[in-house]
Amino acid sequence: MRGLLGEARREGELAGVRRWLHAHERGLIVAWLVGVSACFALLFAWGVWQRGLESVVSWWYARSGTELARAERLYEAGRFEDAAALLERIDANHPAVIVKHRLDQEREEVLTLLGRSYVALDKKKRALETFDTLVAFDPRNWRNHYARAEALRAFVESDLAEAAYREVLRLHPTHFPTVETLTGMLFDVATLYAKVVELHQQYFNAWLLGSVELSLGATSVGLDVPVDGLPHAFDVPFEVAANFAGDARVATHGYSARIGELALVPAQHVGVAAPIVPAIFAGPWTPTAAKLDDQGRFAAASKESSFAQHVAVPNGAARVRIELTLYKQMSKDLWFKVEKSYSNRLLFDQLEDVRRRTVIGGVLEAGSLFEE
Amino acid sequence: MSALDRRRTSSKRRITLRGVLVFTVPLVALGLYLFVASALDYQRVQQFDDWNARSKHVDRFGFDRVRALARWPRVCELEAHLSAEDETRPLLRLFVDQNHFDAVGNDILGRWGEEIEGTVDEHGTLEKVGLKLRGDTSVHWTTVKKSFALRADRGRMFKGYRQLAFSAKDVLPAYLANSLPSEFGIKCADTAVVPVFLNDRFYGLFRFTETLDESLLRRHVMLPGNVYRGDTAERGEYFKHQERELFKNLAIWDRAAKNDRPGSTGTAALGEWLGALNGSTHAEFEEAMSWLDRDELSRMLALMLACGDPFHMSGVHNQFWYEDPSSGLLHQIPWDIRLLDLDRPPADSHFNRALRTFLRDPRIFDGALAELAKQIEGGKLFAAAKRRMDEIETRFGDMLEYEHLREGLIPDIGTSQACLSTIERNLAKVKTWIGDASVACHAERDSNGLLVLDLETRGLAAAELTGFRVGGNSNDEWSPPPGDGEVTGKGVAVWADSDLDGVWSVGDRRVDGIQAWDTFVFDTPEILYPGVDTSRPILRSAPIAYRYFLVATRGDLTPNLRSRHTHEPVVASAWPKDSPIAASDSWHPWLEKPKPGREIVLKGDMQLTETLVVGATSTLTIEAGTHLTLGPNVSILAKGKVRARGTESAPITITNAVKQKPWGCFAMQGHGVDGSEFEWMNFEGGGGALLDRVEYTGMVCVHNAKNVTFRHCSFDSNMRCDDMIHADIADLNLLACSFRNANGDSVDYDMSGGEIRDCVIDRSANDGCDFMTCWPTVVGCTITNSLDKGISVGEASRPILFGNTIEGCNRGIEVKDTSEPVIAHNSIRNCKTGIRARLKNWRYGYGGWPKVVNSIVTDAKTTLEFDNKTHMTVYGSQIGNGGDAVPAPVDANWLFQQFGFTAKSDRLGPIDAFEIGTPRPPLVHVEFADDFGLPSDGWIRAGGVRRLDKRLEGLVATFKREHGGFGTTVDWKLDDPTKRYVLAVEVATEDMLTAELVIAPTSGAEIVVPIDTSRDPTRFEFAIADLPRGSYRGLMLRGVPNSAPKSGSSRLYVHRIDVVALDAGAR
Repeated sequence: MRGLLGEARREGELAGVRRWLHAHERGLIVAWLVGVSACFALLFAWGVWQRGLESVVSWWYARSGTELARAERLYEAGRFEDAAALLERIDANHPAVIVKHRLDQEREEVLTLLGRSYVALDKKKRALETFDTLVAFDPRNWRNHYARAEALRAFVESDLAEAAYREVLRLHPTHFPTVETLTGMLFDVATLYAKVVELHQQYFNAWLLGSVELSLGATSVGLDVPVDGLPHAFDVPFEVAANFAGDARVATHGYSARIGELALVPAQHVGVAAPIVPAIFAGPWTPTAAKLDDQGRFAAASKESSFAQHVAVPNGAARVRIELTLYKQMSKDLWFKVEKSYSNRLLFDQLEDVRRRTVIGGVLEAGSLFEE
Repeated sequence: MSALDRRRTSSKRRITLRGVLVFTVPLVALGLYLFVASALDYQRVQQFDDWNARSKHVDRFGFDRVRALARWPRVCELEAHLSAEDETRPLLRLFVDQNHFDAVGNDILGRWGEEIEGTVDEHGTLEKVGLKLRGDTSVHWTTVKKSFALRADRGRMFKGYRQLAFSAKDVLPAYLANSLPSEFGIKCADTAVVPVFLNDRFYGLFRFTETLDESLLRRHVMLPGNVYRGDTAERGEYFKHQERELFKNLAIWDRAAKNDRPGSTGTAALGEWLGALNGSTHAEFEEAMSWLDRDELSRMLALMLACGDPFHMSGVHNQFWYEDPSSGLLHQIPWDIRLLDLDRPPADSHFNRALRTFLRDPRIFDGALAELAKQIEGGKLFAAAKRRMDEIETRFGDMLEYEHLREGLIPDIGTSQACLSTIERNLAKVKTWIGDASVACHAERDSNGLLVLDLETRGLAAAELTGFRVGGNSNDEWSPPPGDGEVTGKGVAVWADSDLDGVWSVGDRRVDGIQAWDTFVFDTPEILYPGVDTSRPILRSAPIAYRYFLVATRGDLTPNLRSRHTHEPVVASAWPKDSPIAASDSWHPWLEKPKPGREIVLKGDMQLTETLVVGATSTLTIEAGTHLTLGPNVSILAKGKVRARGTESAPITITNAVKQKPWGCFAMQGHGVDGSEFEWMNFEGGGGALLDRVEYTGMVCVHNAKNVTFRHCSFDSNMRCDDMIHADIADLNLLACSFRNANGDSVDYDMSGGEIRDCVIDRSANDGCDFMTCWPTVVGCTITNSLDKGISVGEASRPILFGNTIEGCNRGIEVKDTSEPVIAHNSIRNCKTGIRARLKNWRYGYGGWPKVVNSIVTDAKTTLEFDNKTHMTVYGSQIGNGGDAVPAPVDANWLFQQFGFTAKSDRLGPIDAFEIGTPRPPLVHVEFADDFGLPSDGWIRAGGVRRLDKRLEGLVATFKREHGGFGTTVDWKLDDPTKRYVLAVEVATEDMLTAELVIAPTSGAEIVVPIDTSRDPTRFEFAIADLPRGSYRGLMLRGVPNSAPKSGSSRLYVHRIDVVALDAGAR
């Protein structure tokens, strides 16, 4: 009876639904068609035309960046455990599994910060494994090798640290902090003066091109100067209007420098066969963010290093000639060790040569004008 | 109810909710699928942020899918007809585990670099290969058609390559642009369009490129050396937080191929060059340019302009520079040139730093225009491009249609029409540049009568100043500029302001010419080059000013100018007086001062304590009887011609000053040395040297020079270095010379030719003669007691060894690595091994193949030693101590003639009755290469021939168990009455009952030549037929296979075909 009643009831309900559908069929059809059209129109307008779908994808990829920023704040606040836990989670889910992914640098930041967190927590094995992963992720990024080297040094793994620092120098032969640190490590072992000399020679002779700007008023020209402590002469087109009077400025962007004589060569003129007499300016240069030493050379103190001299050119100029010498970064402490090592190796002639081509000064970021 | 109402009611009843749902739900599902799929496609591509990803949008993905759906029927129809077993066109038939392949393809990031095992169908057998997905940007791996690289299994090659790259991107334009370098005489990687079938399903048309490594160098006859690679554009390749400009940062270069000889210094040499390239002075610029071939740079630039792409070999990638170890020069290898519109360069295009530096020399651009003028003349370049595209269309028309129907779903493949249009437009643009020689001019006479003529080039093409028209004849006297030692003169005289100081001065260059009434004509036209502004992607002219001073002129002056390339007259425009002359960024051509040559003479007893360098414009003469002693490591480096003619009674000698210490090298380098001669000269105690970045591995070395001859010279006891005399890319003749006690090899040729005749070579510590990729003629020499080989023939060498005697060596002759020497009328006796053939260097894929003709190889412990992957062709020779059965000599003049020999072969071994003249190549010469060309080069099989394809041995016909044949049509007209004609076919058989060569004349009976089927298949023979004068239409080989072949298959091999015209009287 109950079953009969239940079935009868369901049949009744279904019949009711069917009647309702039949009664409202037209409306439902219209609602369905309108609804589907509206949904597609919305999807198309927002998703495609307004690039809404693309924004969603961009947002999706930006999520890990937000979390990384949070982890950085935790690290800054000294909450290394929390930072490490968050970073482990980010790393486990990070989409950049290989360096070809667009978020490769973000992954490197995650790993670097995670490794540093482990170092702060004195978790050696995890720290070194993380840095190994970092280096394997992009072995062409010298910063990854540097981070690993620093961690190894922090854990007093000297041999491995030395090898890691040398990897940095293989990729970036003029990375001064690495040269300084590695020299310090070698110098501390007194019998390794030869290695200090070798390391210094490698740094000293590593080819480096520095970008310098020469400007007179609003006109400027870029010059690429080898950073080798040797003078290099430049003779380039440079238009200066007649009767110009103002500052000639040389910006070395953080390189220590010696600036030779400046000559402004007037243009020849059609049909006029007259000697070309350049206007020569051999006076002193006024430094900004740099200091003059007793040999007439300037030690740069910041990336804003520049040098100015007042010039007046009644005849204008078509070319400029100038001699420039740029020096690689050198610190007092490092120079002491280098000098001592050369002396202890009895390499006095070589020492004299490098001394002539070295200025204590310069900044790490000198010349870093290139784009990532 | 009316009928209308009834109809309305009926139609309303037909439109039900269910019906609407049934109709619309699939459409809704399709629409949702399109959205979701497009979004996922977009998301997948946006994992990367390269140029490809940045160009993609969701709507495009959707549209492409809809379009693909509409085209699907035609795609299916075409696909049904594309067969992996098509024998009429080349293809790659690749088999992989599809699941593995799809898994890697769908998870490109997670499984990047994972190798997939596969097999390729190579002539009916499956050979193992490794496959990896590849590509620098996401276009290569984010569609259904993915670029990949194949690597043949260890010890094997595929189509002659160990590694092959297949690119899906821009197949047609990239193929055209990267196959055109050969039209400009520039060596480049092999490339081809290849259809790929994956698991017997058409996967797509790809562009094959050979990998850039040492194998490429050898394949293109370049000495193994460093190839510096700068390819750091994309993620995973570039070095973060570093200077990215390659020409500013040495640390981001590496080497694609390495020169590991002791004299090589890794990338340090490149660092030296970059230092000079970035120099600020003209001297540094000249130093940088001294590492390069300027003419080659011009041709490279011409190629890039023709393709519209001087940008893609950029400052961050596609830089490959080969360092030639024989000269120290750097040669750029073109890579990944695009086909672009020269007038519409892509946004952000710019010239790389090195190219901007090169173009500061106006002669580079001028050379490029000259090269382009040659290519445009007669439509030469366009015709070459059209040939390539027509061939692709003919061969792969249906596949191209299939690929175009997949547009949007796969990387763009391009069309041949678009490619040719682009080339045509670029050449039209360049043609306007070639004719654009415009000059401005002003002439001003001062109060002393000195006329100052200022000219400024303003077009893109150079002009030539051939002289002047002056207002009347002048015989006035004049005095030279102060300080000039010249005496006074009369009549018009001209100086160029070559010291660029603006005034008439002693540093100026006198320009010679002839005055004829009112015209002064220069002996040699003055070339007025324009500069080039490279600051923007579209090249523009940058003016260069030229000043001349004239004396003794009267009246007005008109310069006679013409276009350098078209020789059309040029009318100079006016240049107002007192206008400032703009300073140019280009190096003025007059900065380069000619280096005067000098004549150096050595005579008597002389000691050299430092290296003597003879410049390219200088000469060195060593007089008869001169005795030179050279200090330790002291060398003579000659870049200019050398004449050292001693006599039998007064020879010239060079020895070491200190007995235990070798002198360096007598080195000759470059074409300034061409034609140098040495007679009756004795060399002893030299030890090789490293000079000007080049390692000279011999006591005497000849590099990059032609026709250098040593006659009656002796070479004895070199120390330290390998060779007594060494030739690199040279043409060196050694006539009646003697070599004794070599420290390594007596004579060593690399990629060289020349004649080695009547020489005596004894007691070499290694080889008597060592040839690598060489083609010399070795005649009448006696080689004895070599501790290794009498003659070593390696790495694709093809010398002729004629009439030599080799005795007492470890191995008489060793033939390696696809070398095919002709060993004719030689005697090889009392050697441990008579002739050995083997594969030594895996890069060649196959061993040596000597052709032994009328020679004797006897009294050896092992007469013949042949490894796997080697062959031999024997023709009328005695191999082994034959007892009574000594073969008769054969007439092989048809073979000798191409080397210039005519011989009366009356016996085996060395003969006296022969002459050497000018080589005469065969009328017809056919060889077969296993490549991506037509599978059988147009030969057709019939009957029982199951397969016909090109392999390492040549053209190979594989038979079923019934008779069959294969052949080709020919069109030979052999009707010169002064000639007799010989057809020679190098053939072998395997498990054949009978085989014959059939030649079909246009009229008359066939000529049939039986082929010996009893030999080992690695022992080839020459099937020879004398062809009566007449016309011939067909060539065929046919045979009957063994019913039970031991090897499993019956085959007929054809290695080479020659038709030779001999003088009718010669027999």
